[in-house]
Amino acid sequence: MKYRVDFIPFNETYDLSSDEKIRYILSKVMRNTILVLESGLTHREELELIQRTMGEIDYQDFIGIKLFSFETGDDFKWSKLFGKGNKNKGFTIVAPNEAVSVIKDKRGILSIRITQ
Amino acid sequence: MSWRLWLKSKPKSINLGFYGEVNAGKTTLANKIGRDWADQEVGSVSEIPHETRTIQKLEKVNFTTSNTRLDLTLIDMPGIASSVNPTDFIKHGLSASEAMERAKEATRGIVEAIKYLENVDVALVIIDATKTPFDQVNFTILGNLEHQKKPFILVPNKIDLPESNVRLVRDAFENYTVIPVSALQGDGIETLYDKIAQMARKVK
Repeated sequence: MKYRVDFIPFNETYDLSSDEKIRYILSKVMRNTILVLESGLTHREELELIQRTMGEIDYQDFIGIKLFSFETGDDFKWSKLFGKGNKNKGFTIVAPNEAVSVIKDKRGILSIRITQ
Repeated sequence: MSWRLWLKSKPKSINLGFYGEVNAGKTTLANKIGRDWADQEVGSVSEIPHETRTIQKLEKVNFTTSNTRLDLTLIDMPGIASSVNPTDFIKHGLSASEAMERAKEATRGIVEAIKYLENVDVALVIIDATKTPFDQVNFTILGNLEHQKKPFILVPNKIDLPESNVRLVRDAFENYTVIPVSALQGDGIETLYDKIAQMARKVK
């Protein structure tokens, strides 16, 4: 399986409602696209995305997503890497579940291996 | 309040929700609390993921500490995940049809658990201390609890196992209330009870 990585700039999603943003994300991820969203999701939107993902799972072609968020900033904290609070974070990455596996090193860099 | 008045006062009703990722030990902890305070268990435990696929409740749990009396409802939630793969269940020996049925029930359970979040008064967010705690689901649950201003306690579980790493959990979730336990062995459970009482006092 080949996956495409789309880097979605802020201006592509900033004026979408949460509902529209989640529909946009799911439509792309379900077509084997890994998304890097400059306009990150809030935790509320993340939960909504998980909930809506459950409704789309068909147990064969689509079994769900992997989701990562982190805030921007100079000083490293784990809570920043995975996002805290309800402001839009620096980035959110959403991928088809089987598309990526995660490697994290001790410096807190999020490393993702893309499945062949 | 005098001790006579305190004894006569009606215990506060609290919905205590057990949230967390799959196989973190939510039901094991709920059962431990149920046995300690009501001589009953909440649900069955299994190594196969998504054993709890519907919300399980144990009501009328009379919980008493030195200065707090509570009428607890223990609400054991299905584990929250962002994917459900029937193949994972087949690896644990289930047939293809059993695995598919379990997967369908698990997806329904995840939605149910998410929707129930607003009905919880105090949440225990249980993390498997033997794994790296960086599953985004943990941060998503905590972020939503904070947003809804729900009191919660982060509970790294399985601390009786040599591979557990409580320090890593504390580092990952600094500024949160972290009470490590072994739900199976009972380690740390009294400290958790004191903290539950403290959190329940915050509920209006």
